[in-house]
Amino acid sequence: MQALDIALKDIRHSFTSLFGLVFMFVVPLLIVGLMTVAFGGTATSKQQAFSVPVTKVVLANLDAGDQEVDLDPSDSNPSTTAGDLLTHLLASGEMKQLMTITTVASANAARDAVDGRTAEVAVIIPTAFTKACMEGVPGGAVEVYQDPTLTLGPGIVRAIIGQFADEFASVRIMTSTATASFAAAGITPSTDRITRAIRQFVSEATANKEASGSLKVEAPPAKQQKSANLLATILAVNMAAMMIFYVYYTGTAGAESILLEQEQGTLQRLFTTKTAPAVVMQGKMLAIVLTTILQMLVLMLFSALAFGIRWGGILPIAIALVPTALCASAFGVFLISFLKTTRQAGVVFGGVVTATGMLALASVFTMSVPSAAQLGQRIALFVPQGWSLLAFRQAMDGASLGNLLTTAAVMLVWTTVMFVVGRARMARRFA
Amino acid sequence: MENTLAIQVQDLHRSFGQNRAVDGVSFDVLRGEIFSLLGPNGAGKTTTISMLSCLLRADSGDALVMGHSVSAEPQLVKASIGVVPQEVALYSDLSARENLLFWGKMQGLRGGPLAHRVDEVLDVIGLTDRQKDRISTYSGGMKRRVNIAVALLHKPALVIMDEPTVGIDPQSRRSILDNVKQLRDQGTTVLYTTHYMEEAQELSDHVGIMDHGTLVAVGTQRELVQSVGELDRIQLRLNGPAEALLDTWKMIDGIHDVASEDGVVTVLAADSNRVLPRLFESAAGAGVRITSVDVQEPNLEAVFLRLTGRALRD
Repeated sequence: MQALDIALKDIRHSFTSLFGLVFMFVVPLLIVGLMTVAFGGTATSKQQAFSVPVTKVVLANLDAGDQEVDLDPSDSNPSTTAGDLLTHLLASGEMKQLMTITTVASANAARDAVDGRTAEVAVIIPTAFTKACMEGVPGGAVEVYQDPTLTLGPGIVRAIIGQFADEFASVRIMTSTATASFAAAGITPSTDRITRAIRQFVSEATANKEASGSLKVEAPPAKQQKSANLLATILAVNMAAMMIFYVYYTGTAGAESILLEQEQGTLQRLFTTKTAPAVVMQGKMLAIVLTTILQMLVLMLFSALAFGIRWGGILPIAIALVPTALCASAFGVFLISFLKTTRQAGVVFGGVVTATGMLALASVFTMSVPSAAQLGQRIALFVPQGWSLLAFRQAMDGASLGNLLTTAAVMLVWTTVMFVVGRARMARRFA
Repeated sequence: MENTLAIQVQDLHRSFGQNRAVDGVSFDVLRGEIFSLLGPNGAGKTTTISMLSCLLRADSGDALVMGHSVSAEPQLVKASIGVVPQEVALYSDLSARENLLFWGKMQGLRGGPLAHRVDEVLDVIGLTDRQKDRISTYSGGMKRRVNIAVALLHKPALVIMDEPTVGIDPQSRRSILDNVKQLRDQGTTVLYTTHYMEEAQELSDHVGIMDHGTLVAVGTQRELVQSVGELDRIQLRLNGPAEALLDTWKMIDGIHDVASEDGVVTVLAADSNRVLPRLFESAAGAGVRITSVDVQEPNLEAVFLRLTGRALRD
């Protein structure tokens, strides 16, 4: 009962300290919150992870075409130009997620729309665009006139136009090479054949995109989902890492209260009361464990609601959470047992807790670098924080109960060793 | 005899590295008395009471506190004592009442009896009105009073006080000294450490003088004074010539010396109470009237000086 009284007194002290509250809750949430904002929004499986803004494009197709070439005889237009094809491509259904197209009659009108901020990008297809595409003559470059403050939307438009031009260029080079080869072999292919080859390409490019694969600018739903999940995973792992990083701080700060009470004389006074010294230490330990559990629960709940982080099932999380709380508390007792004053605790906070925490974060820093990921995970397991992080990742990834229990068992071994050493050193100090 | 003893200290030793903080200390404290350990800072007083309150283990020797060995039965010892540490040992973010409730629980009190006892001690220390204020808002003297109250919650048979009046205002000191005497009047034994000679003189039934980790003398104030051969100084004014009396007074048993200067006769005697009637008798016989008497008994400061060769404040 006295142990609980001591624990409640310590917990009250922790939760009435502004500094403590900031370190326990505000800082880890703030860091993950900033990361979420930096990545462009919250990530849940139901939401799109990266929401690329739709770019307003105004298009002036001035392409005069080539009187000898109708690039698409299947349509009603007797002389379909490369400019028509590009316009068709940019206005197609696949592009609606990326841009909206408004056509205007002149280049100036297109530029004016951008200057007047009614459009973000102006695409001006020059008069000689078809000839440039078909024959490689100069003066056929598409002009992209943009709002200088924008980068992403205009970049996408440029990339699509570039890909379109490249495809044309490759066909032109291919047909030129083939014609030269045929000529060398004494064969002269008819213009019709060459035109048919180009039409074949155009046909695939405009009508049968699924089969062609050319000029396909898509964000397939499956890929999108994968992207969203990847971001959710990154945020979840980072949140777990931040939580563990600061839970171990809390463990050490909680244990520091032993030093603080020693300096205030209240610890010695406790040892002169009827309450056994072992019960006093149990109370102090209980306070740290309960505080860290409470800290983790609040952080998990808040991050689940605010950032959509999925922590896993209740049982796996409990298996990760309880040993982590015990391990963080024992870690604090262990470290503090080497210190004599709270002044020295600053060194521990700035040095040992941060350094070991960073080692544990090695597994997070390297998670997107395949060549270093394994090494990062191994390094992390040299410190108890690394095992805690592993347990939470296993819980979030839905790892088998056996794996999770093995990790929890290792954490309990860490806990036992650190607590026994710390307790023995403290007992010697007060004997 | 053992039942009348609250504390029996037997050859206690405790060293910190090369420093012998307590070196073979032995003394007894009677139940219901105030026993003061008097000595300068660093004399070993706090180390001694730390061992008696089971906070430090003795390197050798033992002590029985209320009949229980500090080395073998520390929990029984702790149950029978209340300790007032030298520094205020309270939780400054809690109120006086919250502190008392917490410390009462640590002494095994609960519920109604605890709340009732907290009310009682708050009344004793005169802080009922401010019981809900945080300790951090209290003056030094008020903190000291709460510090003492914590030790009284479970009505211990023995209260150990380690320099409870250091650094406080005269009013609070007076209040604390009165509380200590009140405790004795209620039958509580008090072991009191101090380096203030006046406090030891005012409070103590017995005094132990400590210096450099050893107990250099133990006894009542009278016994201590006599043990070092210090004499009472009696100064008298007469309404007639003193010369005729001086030789007579020198012959009185118990008088060591007599001198006259500027109309004041100074008599050095082992026990002023014994010689004074004879001084009056012989003066009357000589037809001289004693118009004023001033007796200065040797104090503990003088005893300490004689025993250690230095003053208490050194």
